[in-house]
Amino acid sequence: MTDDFYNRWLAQRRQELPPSTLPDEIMKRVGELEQHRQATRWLRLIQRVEHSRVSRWAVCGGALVVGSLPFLFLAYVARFVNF
Amino acid sequence: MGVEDRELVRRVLAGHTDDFRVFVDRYQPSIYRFTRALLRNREDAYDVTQEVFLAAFANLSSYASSRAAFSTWLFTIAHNRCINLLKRQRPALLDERAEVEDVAPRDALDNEELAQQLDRALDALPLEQRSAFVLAEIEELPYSEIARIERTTVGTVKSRIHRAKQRLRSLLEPVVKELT
Amino acid sequence: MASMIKSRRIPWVALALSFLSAGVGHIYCGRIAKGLPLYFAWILVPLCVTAAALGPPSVASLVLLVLLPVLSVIIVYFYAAIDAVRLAHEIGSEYTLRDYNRAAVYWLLIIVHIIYPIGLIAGVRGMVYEAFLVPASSMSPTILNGDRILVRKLLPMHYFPDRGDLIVFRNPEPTGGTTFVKRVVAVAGDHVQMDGSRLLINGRELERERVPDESLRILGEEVTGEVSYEVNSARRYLVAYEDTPDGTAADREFEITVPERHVFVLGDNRDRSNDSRNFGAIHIGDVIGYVDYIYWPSESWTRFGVVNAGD
Repeated sequence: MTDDFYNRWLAQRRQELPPSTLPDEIMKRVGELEQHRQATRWLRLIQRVEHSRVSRWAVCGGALVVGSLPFLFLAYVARFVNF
Repeated sequence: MGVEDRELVRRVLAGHTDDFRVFVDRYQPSIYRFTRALLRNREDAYDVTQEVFLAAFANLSSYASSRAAFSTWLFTIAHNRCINLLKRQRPALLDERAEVEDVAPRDALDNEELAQQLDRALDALPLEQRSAFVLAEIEELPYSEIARIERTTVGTVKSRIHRAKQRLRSLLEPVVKELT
Repeated sequence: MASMIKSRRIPWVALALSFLSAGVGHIYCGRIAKGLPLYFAWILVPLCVTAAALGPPSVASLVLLVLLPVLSVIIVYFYAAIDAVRLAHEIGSEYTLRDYNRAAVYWLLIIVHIIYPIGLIAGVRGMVYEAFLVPASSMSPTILNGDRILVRKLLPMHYFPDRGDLIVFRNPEPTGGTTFVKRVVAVAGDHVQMDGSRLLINGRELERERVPDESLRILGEEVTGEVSYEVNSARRYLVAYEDTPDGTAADREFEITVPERHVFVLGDNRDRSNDSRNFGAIHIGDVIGYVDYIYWPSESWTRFGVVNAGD
C-alpha cells in the first residue's frame, strides 16, 4: 500500500511539464545571443585590422580587387584585356 | 543517442543555430523538473532552465571535447547554477536541516493531499539528498551519472538516495496505516 | 534593441565595403537613400546597351548608350568610395545603428553585386552585342588588322542578310579561326561569277570607282593595292585588289548559284581573303551577328563609328 502511493506520486512527478512557452523563450534568447556574438566577432576582427596601417591597406586593396571583378570582366568582354 | 547528440553539437557549432532546438525540446522538461525540485519555486526554475540552455549554447565548444552524455552535461550546469542561486539567495540557510518542518499527518487524506504532503516532504529534504533523489527516482539516471553531476562518489549518492527515501517513507507509513 | 546602441562608423571599413560594392559603404553609414541608387547604377550598362542595339546604329548611340554608361558606372564606383569615407569621417562615433546595419546584409548585397553584373555582362555579350578584335587584314580597307568591332546579335525576328552587309559567322570549316568577319556579296538564289578581278552578280558586273591614293592615307601603311568603291544593290563599299596589271593574283575563275538559306561572302581585301570562294556559301544559321561599329580603330580615330551603314 505504501509502495502503491509512493509509486503513484513518483509517476505524477515524472509527468510534470514546464510551461509551454519555455522552449520558445530559450530559442529566442539563444538567437539573440548568437546575433550579439556575431556582432562582437566582427568588432574584434575590425579592431585587429585597425591596429596596423598595413592591414588596413591590405583589406581595402583586397576589397578593390574583388569589387572591380565585374569591371575586369567587362574589359575582357570588350577585348581591352586578354586573359 | 550519444553519437546523435554529438552530431547535433557539431551542426550547431557549424552555425546551424536552429538545430539547438532539438536539445531544448528533448531536455527542457527534465532540466525544469530538476531545477524546480532544487529551487522549490516554479518561477526560479523557469528562469534557471533558460540560463542553463543559454550557458550550454554559449559553451558548446567546450562540451565537444568532453566525454559525458549531453544530458549529464546539462544536469551538471543546472546543478551548479541552482547551488549558486541558493547560496546567493539565503546564504544563512544553506544548512537546510534548520528549515525542515514536521509534516504532521492528518486524518482522512485523499490522494491529492497525500501527493502534496510528499511534495512538501521532498522540499524539506537537504539539498544534496533532494538532488540525488530527483535524479535517481524521477529522472531515473544511473548512479554513476548522478555521481558525475554532483561531483561525488557512487557510494555517497547511494546513501543520499537511501536517506531521502527513508525520510519520505517514514512520512508516508503512518498516513497509509491510518487509511487502511 | 539595436536602435539603442551608439556606434562608430569607421572610414576604412566604409571604404572597403564601398570598394567591394558601390553603395554598401553608404548603407553602412546609414544613408540607404543614397546607397541604393549608387548600388543599382550598374544596371544602366546592360539597359543602355540593349537600347542601343534596338535602334539604328549611329555614332551618337555608340557614345551615349554604350561608352558613356560604362564610363559613368566607373565614375560612380570611385565617387561612392570617396563619399563613403567622407561620410564615415563626418559621422564619427555618433551613429545610431539601423536595422539593416548587419554583416549579413552587407555580404548579401556584395555577393549579389559581384555575381549579377558578371551574369548580365555575359548575357549582353551572348545576346545583344559582342566585341571582337580583328586579327587579320582580309577585310581591309573597311576593317583593318587590330580594329575592335562591336557585333550586334540582337537581330530582327526573320533577319536575312542583305547584299553589302558586314557579318560575323562561325567558321564552317574545322581549320582556322572560329569566327570570321566578311561582307555578304550575294544572297540565296543569286548567281555569282568571278573572272579575274571582275565580279558578276546575276550576270551583271558590279561597277567600281577607283579611289585616289591620296585619300587613303588615313588608313595607314597597311592598305596596299588598288582600292575602289564597289556598288552592289545600291550599297557602296571599299574593296582592294592587288596591283597586278597582268592579273596574276586574281587569275582564277569561279561560278556558283547561292543555295536556299545561304549567303555568299567575300573579304573586301579580295586577293588576301579566305572566303566563300574556298569554303562555299554560308548557311544562315552560322551567322552570329551584324557588324555595327568600330569602337576602337587601329591606325586612326577618324575611322571610329558606324561601319555597316545601309546607305
